[in-house]
Amino acid sequence: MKTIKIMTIMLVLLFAVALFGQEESLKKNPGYFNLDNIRTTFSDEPTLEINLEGFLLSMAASATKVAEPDLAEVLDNLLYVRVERYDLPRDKRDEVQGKNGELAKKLDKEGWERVVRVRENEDDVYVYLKPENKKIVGIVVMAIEGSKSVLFANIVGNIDPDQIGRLGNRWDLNHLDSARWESRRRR
Amino acid sequence: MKSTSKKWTCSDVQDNIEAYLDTALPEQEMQLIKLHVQDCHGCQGELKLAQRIQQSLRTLPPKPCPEVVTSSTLAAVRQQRYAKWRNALLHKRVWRPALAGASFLLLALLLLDRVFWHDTAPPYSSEEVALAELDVKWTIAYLGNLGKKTGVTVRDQVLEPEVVAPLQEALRAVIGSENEH
Repeated sequence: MKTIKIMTIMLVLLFAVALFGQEESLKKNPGYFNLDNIRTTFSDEPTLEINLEGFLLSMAASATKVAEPDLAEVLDNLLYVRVERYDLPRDKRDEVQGKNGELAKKLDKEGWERVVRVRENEDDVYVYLKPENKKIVGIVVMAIEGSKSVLFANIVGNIDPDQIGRLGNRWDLNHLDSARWESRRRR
Repeated sequence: MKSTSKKWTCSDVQDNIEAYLDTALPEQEMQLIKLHVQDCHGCQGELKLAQRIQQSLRTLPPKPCPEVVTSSTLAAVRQQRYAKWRNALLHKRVWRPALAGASFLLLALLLLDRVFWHDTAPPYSSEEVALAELDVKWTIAYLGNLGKKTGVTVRDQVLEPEVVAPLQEALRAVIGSENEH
């Protein structure tokens, strides 16, 4: 009887650890960068929010396999996509710029490679890549877009920048913006 | 109980007279007493007296049981029942197999759910999948756009001071010297 009790407790613990581990494994992925603290800087909700993980990305990959095989390949290799865009009030600009600078320092320390740094007119953009075993496993974008908004993104997975560049040039951002709004409105 | 082989005396009959009235004796003894009473006037009187006493007792109204006795008896029964359950639980004869059974059932359900997940209803609707596809396309297009924009910016930043400006200087110098001639 004692053995059954011990076995039961062990199995229950094992399952609890496995379920908890799924989320923890993403956070331990070298391409993951925690953007949770950004929310506290802004009083309003993000104007754009994308948060996609594992199984949903796999399902999207399966759905596009026939019509867009190259997109399916990208989706198959992604583990996590998070994008948040906030309105940027004039009085917050310096604070956000300062915080982005701090985040950039943190990324530098954690072994991320800065591939883009642009300060031009009112744009202030950082793009970081995380290399691991000669592959790119993560992208972080922090972009102050003119005087109106700021965008943060973290993409985790096996990333081919060339492939993303090719696909990115194929689609029109404005058209996709409208399609997203239309799709959300219908829901 | 008197031996049935001997003839019963008056004393034997009167000792068993109440059992006779209650028909609580074996058939043979009932017959012996009946035969004895038919011939014995003394025992006939005793039998009639015993019958009268029994009838009088039956006609007495039933006396209710005092409340104290009822409540204490019920409390004792309840306590006994509770003690029985408590002992069963404390001796772990019930909860151990129940807990083990419930845990295994839960694990089995979780495992079945995992194994047959893809064959049952998916956790996301087709609309959600389509929206996820649009979201990823948007993100990739944004990165492409950013690449284009920063590419232009980098090119302008590098080419303008390093290549275009010296060329313009050189051209101006050439044009200036030709004009002097």
